[in-house]
Amino acid sequence: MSSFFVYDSINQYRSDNTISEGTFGAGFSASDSLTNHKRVSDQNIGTAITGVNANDAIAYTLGTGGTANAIAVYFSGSDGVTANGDEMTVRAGNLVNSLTAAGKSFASTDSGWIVSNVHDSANYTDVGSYTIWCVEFNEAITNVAEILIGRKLDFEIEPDINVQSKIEYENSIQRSLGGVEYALNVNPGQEVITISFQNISSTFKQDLTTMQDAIKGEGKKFLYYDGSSYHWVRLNETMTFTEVADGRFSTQIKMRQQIQ
Amino acid sequence: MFTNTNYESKLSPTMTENWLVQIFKNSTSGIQTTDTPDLALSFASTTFDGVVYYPAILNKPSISYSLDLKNFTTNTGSLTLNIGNIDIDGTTLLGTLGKNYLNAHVNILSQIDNDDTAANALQIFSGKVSSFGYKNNTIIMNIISNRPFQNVSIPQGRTSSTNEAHNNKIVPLVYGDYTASTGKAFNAEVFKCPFHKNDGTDFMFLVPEGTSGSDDLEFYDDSIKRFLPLTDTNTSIADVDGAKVLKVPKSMKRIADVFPDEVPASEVVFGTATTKTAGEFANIIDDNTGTSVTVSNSTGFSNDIGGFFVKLIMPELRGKITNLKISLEATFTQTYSNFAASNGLRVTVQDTASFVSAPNSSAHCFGSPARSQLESGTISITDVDITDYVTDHNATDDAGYFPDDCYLYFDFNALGGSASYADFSATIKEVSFKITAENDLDKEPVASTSFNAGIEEVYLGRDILTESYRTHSTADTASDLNNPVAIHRQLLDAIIDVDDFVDDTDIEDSGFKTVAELRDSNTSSPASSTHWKTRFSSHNQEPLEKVLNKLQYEGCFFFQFNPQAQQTALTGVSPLRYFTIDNGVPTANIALSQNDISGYELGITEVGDLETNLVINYKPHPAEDRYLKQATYTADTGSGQNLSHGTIFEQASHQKEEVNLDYVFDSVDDAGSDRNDDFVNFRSSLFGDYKTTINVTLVNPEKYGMIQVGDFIDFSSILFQDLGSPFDAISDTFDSFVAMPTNLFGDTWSNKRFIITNLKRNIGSVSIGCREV
Repeated sequence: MSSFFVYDSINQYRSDNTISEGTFGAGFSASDSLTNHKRVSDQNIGTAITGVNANDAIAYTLGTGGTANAIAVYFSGSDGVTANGDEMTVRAGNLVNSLTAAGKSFASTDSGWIVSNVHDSANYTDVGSYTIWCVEFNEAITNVAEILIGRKLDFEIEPDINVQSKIEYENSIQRSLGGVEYALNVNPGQEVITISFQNISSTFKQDLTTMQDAIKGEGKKFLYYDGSSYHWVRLNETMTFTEVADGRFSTQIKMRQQIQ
Repeated sequence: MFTNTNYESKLSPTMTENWLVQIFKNSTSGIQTTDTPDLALSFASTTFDGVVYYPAILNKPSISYSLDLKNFTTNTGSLTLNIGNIDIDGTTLLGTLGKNYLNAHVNILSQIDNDDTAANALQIFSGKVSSFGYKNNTIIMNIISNRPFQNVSIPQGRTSSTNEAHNNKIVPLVYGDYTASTGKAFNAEVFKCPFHKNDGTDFMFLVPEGTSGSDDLEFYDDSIKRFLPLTDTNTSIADVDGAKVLKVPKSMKRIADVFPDEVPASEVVFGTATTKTAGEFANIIDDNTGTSVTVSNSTGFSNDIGGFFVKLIMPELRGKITNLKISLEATFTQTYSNFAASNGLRVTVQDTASFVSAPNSSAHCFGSPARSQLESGTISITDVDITDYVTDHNATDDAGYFPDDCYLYFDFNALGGSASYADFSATIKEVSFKITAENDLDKEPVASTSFNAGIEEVYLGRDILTESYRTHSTADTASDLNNPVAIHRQLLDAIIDVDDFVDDTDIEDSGFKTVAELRDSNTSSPASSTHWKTRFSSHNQEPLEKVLNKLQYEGCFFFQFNPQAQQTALTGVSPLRYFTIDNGVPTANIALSQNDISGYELGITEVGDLETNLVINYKPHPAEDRYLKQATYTADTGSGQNLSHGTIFEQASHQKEEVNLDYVFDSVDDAGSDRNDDFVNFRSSLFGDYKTTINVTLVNPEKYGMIQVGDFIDFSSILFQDLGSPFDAISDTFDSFVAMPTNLFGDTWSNKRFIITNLKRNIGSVSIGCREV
């Protein structure tokens, strides 16, 4: 599978948006159905919601309608599901009783990220623009830590082969007068990934710029899939595009792994 | 040392450390480290005791602890946390913080290798949120150490009356053992009781809570400098206006059991051929019947009055004398002939020295009505009433007051006919008086009222020893409120309601038992301890913190609210921490070599720190602005660094320091030779000579992980060759594993102990300042 990003295209992380918990029947009905429901929309994959049962739902009400084509869900541990199928359904609309758009059901996963399209008839087709986005849990499920509704940006081409990756541990090495060293570790290490594109189209450049605008540069975390693994990252610095030929550009994307 | 064996076992040269910050709203009652905090923050993402901690701390704060050896105080510094404005379950931290987080309780723990188990982390700080702010999307939170005594004043007891004239008067706060005044000896073992009001017949004086016993109130007669029992005191404590009072009738009758102030030998009036033949006249008022003065006549006389008048300078009491009694110890001999019934020896008190048979006034104390005609005898009279002397004397002096002159008249009478004395002799051993005085309500009502209003207080010699906190089952006497440690603990309990001890183990864990026993000899362990007798009285509003610090200073001990106070579920942890410096060379808590430290600085204490010439005033007078006792200390001339005061400061009058002790009044000096035997020994052991200091940065977690201020450090200088066989065969190359790189100026590090006076704990290292003790 080729590489891609999933980022917040509907502006779900704005503080003036409303995230509600409830149940889904004929439509979304707000109620006290979950515990700590806002933990799925806090850009923090370290804390999970609890008390999820069948037909419980979470609704994001946006100030301004947003368009999305993908949903990414992070499980901080086992999802508690014995046979994965259609454990979640994403819907959209402008009225809580008329969430008829999207309607895509998708499977959970047993720890880690799962990414799905939101359109029920085609892969990663835009759905929008809608002010209400709702995720229904079709059965009891555990360890849901983050739900990111946004846009999946497939890479036009794979990055150059000189992908750089390093892990920064912030270790403190103290050396005694006698020459004995003591190592202190304070965090588990953050991976810093640098990918380069020597020659991309102006269209892909524009897509990257759109993403960068949506995530406000280094402001919001997003999901990076490198073809084999998911990375919850933040831009380490904003992108610089260099025109290498007429309508062709080079750039480098430096991302820092987010521990939570 | 901090206490947590689980944590200690996890310390290693390579480890992951995380600090966990637990913040409990000010309305949250459970603040133990095992309780779920309202905010759980950390450096790195982790869980602890099943709670997720947000890795939101952006800075690397440090925690500073210090100990002031000079003043015996401890301090834990404040710290600032920069916290990311995180989203917590849908609300940003900025939106979460409100007034319920002001003064919120804060625990900081050190967690090793993300160990989730509550008992495996070490609490390193206990404090409160002082303030918080917001800057550049960061929450700036200021945290201070736990200081519940801050801004608290004592005494807190007040009268409560609808009459504002009697409302809100301070009820004194007093602890200690006191002794009522009896007999002739000077006694100042009393405390002050302020005047409250009168009820028409009685004056009422405020007494402290906890007063026991049945002794009378006492009046301080500043003209004779004596405390006198007010003998008509109603000894039952009454409740008036919400306070405890003792009542005494307005006449305030008091009795002075006194010697004359002086017996001027030059003013003794001798009869014919009579003279002093042995001893001194001053001997008759020296409270010693083993000394005396003898007056004799060996030539005799006839048809005459002989004898002698001893001039007594009587103490001038305040008030009207209503009763006067004399006690006299003497012997006599007399050789006579042809005596009639009116002849012989009589002893009286006279206001004139006139050899007449019937003086204007007289008070017979011996030989009345019939004169003694024994050839020899003993005069041993006690409390013979001679009130006539002050109520019926000559018209020029006021009744109820001593005449201008007072004589003890030994009257050997041979007047009339052929009566004659061949010789006589009188040996006086002791003479004393019991003087009863009252306020002169009849003749001087205004003066009497003014007199009472002027003194404002009387005194009381009853004990207030019973503590309100839990005592140790086998060392309860150390908790009696007559040593500085017990009184310190009592103030914490009674004034700011600091958590009481839970059981004997808690008392031992806090260090209270050890330190209180060191300051109270009424214990079996340690057997050699001396009693630093202490009295505490507070009559005017004063800061509790100042008082606590002064008790620590005078008692030479340290107190700290334990930074580990919320981890009492662990064995060996108490919320309170009492400690001092042991006798001799204290046991080291850790030994350091160059392999444990990344740098060090050596120094010596500055000259200004030296206390080589001390004048210590102690035992304050209950009624006057002075101290009753004084001790001095001057550094001995010795060898090496042990120089005399005069050598260091050029001459003895320079840099001579005067110290006032308001509470400790015994074991101040000369109680023994050990450091903890008395105040002077303790201070001179610390400040009587130059001491070395060392600042060290520790990098070995196994050494720095558990240390606290007040711990003792041994810097090793032992080389393998010093250890003898078989260690001396080990190559010198390995000496660095056990030794410091340099000597300590001209000395080695051997047999020296250093107390940690400053400790700054960062994640990954600890810097300490130490001072030799």
